[in-house]
Amino acid sequence: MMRLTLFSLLYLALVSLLFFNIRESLRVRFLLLSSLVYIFALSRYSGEVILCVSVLTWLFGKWIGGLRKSGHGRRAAFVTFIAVSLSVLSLILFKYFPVLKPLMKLDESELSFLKLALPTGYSFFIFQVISYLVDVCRAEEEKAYGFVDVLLYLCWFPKYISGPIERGHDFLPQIEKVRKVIFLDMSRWGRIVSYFLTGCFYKVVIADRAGIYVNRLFEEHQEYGGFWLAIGAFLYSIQIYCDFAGYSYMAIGISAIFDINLTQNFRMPYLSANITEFWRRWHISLSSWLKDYLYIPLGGNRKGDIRKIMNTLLVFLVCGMWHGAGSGFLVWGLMHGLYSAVDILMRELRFNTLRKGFWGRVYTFLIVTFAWIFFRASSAEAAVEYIWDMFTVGVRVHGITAEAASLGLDGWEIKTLLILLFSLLVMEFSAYKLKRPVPELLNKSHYTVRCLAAFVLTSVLIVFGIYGPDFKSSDMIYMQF
Amino acid sequence: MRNRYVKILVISVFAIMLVFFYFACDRVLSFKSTNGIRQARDMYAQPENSVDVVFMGSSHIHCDVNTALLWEEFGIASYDYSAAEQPLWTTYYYLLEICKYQDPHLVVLDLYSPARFKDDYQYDWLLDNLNGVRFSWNKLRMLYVSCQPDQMRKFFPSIATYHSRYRELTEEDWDYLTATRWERASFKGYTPYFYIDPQEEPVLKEKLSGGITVKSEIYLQKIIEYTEENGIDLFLMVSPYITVDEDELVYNRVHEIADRYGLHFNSTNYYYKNMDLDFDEDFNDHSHLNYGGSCKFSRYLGEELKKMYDIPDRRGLPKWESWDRHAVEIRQMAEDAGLTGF
Repeated sequence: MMRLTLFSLLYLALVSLLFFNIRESLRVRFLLLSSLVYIFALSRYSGEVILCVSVLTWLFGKWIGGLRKSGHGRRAAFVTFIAVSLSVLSLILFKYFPVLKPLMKLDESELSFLKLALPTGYSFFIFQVISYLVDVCRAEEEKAYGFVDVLLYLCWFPKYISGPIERGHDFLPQIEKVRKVIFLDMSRWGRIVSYFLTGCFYKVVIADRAGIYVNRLFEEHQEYGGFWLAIGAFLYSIQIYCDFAGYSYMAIGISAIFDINLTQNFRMPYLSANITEFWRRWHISLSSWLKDYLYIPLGGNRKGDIRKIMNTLLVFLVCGMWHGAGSGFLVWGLMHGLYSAVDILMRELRFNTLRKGFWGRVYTFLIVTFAWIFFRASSAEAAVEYIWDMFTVGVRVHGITAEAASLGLDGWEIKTLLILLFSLLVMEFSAYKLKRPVPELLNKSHYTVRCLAAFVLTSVLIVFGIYGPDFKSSDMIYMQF
Repeated sequence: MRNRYVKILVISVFAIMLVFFYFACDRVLSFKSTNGIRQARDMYAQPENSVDVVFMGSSHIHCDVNTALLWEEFGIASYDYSAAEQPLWTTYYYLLEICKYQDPHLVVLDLYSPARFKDDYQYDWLLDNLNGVRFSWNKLRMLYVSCQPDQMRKFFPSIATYHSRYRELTEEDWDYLTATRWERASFKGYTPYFYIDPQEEPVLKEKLSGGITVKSEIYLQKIIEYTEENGIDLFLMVSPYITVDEDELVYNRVHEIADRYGLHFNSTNYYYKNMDLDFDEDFNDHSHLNYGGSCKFSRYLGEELKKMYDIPDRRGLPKWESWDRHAVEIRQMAEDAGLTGF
């Protein structure tokens, strides 16, 4: 999704207006240009890096595809290995070098390349690059797509900053439809509005509201008792989910304007009965990427239980490292690796009390929330301090109301939060039972219900949204990756 | 086919409901400050082409210019179309805005703001200057000239600045939801102060001129040219306050500009005795007159304006009945504050 600002929305409106008024043959190139302009507007540095890497990706893709088709499979695999290695190296350099630089005591003024910084959205971008190159090598990309198509796939602006990590074989075939899409298509607009409004509700009303208190609790945890610190951990779980899922829904809605369908990235993950199910429902594009390009090539579950557990731990370590260079992310990744390993063992031992039903869901939510503390805190050390305070400071009964006041939580806000959380639970539960994401439920309902939902969501957004001069809702958590 | 029309009808009904909801939220949640927001908003409620004299400028206008007294004693149908610390560039766009709905004979412009505030972008009271103005191309230009691009999100759109006021709503907010145009029309911008803060009479000795910023001078000239092109008289003035030499520097410069364009200019700080202004009784603070002081100043001002300009007496005419209600309301406010006989 683009950054959620008035200017981004105006940019989107302008792009849409021009898109539907130019010649059909120019549409794809126009969308590529719009995407590049957007990335360059975010940061010239990011634009330059992304453009270079995209061009190199296309060139490598052509080379690999050419080698494969001419029967040089091993050479194609070798070139793929080189290209993927360079991609991974670039990610490591951009992500980890700025962190390691101070430790290496290097003089930036003499060596300009030392001023490397992670281009915005690079982590998502490079995973798409890797998946594209590997798929070309594996012949999953049969058709040779042109320069413009491949670059559009890599740089598509609604998904550029924070994914979903689209696969080439899902995205590229849709480009042909883009040339023919018409503006007045009621069913498509129903989908656009359902996804976009639900996304805004999740992000601007719930996530950003929770974020206000999470920030205070995590940054000043020494000032609060265990009760509020536990609430802080809970609210962060809600924040990160609603932030990321909300953004993903908005990206899907925006892409639908141009008749491009993006991958669903979340399927009610907090209602999962066990951690394995959780990772099939949380950040689906990332977990499926890790499964297809790391877990399975490592052997997956085909080499016995011990190797399976080792592979799982390694995958989650990489997952943690992908999120960031901080110690908190590494610990978070390892914890999920451990959770998955324990889940594998529980399944083997048929110990299902904490893998199914109500208790399974409670247990899964609690362990995921606990791990989020490491994800949110500024470091693993800070997370440990937070957890220590949470469990040892205790519940200061008379302090609860005073601490609520210092958090800025008055009666109004508590009621608002409770109603919003209850609404979220109802929506998620309905979606879980009906096996469809919330926006899809809305989209498939009767148009009167859809209109009423749109009215309610927009009204709630206008009044209760966290936007305006006192708030900064435009930044999404996953933007930093 | 029939289903399609029913669908369009349902969608239209909900769209209209949403529009109504938005306007209701705007009415209830918006700030009701009398530092400029209400002055701007309720200008739109005035009967079309009924305002003969527009007073413009900073809070010196809506505190010092008693529109009720001007009506009762002189029959002048005036409106204080001002806002706190309003810079001249904002005043210029305010002038364009009021001329869309009114056909004033005279604009009276107070020059305190350009004398006292020298920054090219002034943010302290910008919200009060912007929020009452309706969305339009004029407002966008006002916004563009009033703040730097990276600050715009703090002021636009207006609803972003007050949508979270649901926690602090008062009876006044709910009353505004159902306030009719007729009810709102009795507000003429004037908001009297009732505090007494004795002041020391300033000694005016500055003879040099200058000190006005380039941006202020550009917009002063735009205002002068606009009024000239549209056949509107322009009177430049400084309403009474505890002035200082730096401010007088600017007023001397404005005097030069006024002379160049053949405009009347009155720095009333030279005429305290003519107004019978009492420095122990008539000031709310160093910058504003209180109710008593505003009555004295407005009486003086009314006499001067009547002498210099041909302003019609609208008393007794049905179209101007809102000024009668306005005068009653101001008198009531004064009585509630225990002040009568001004």
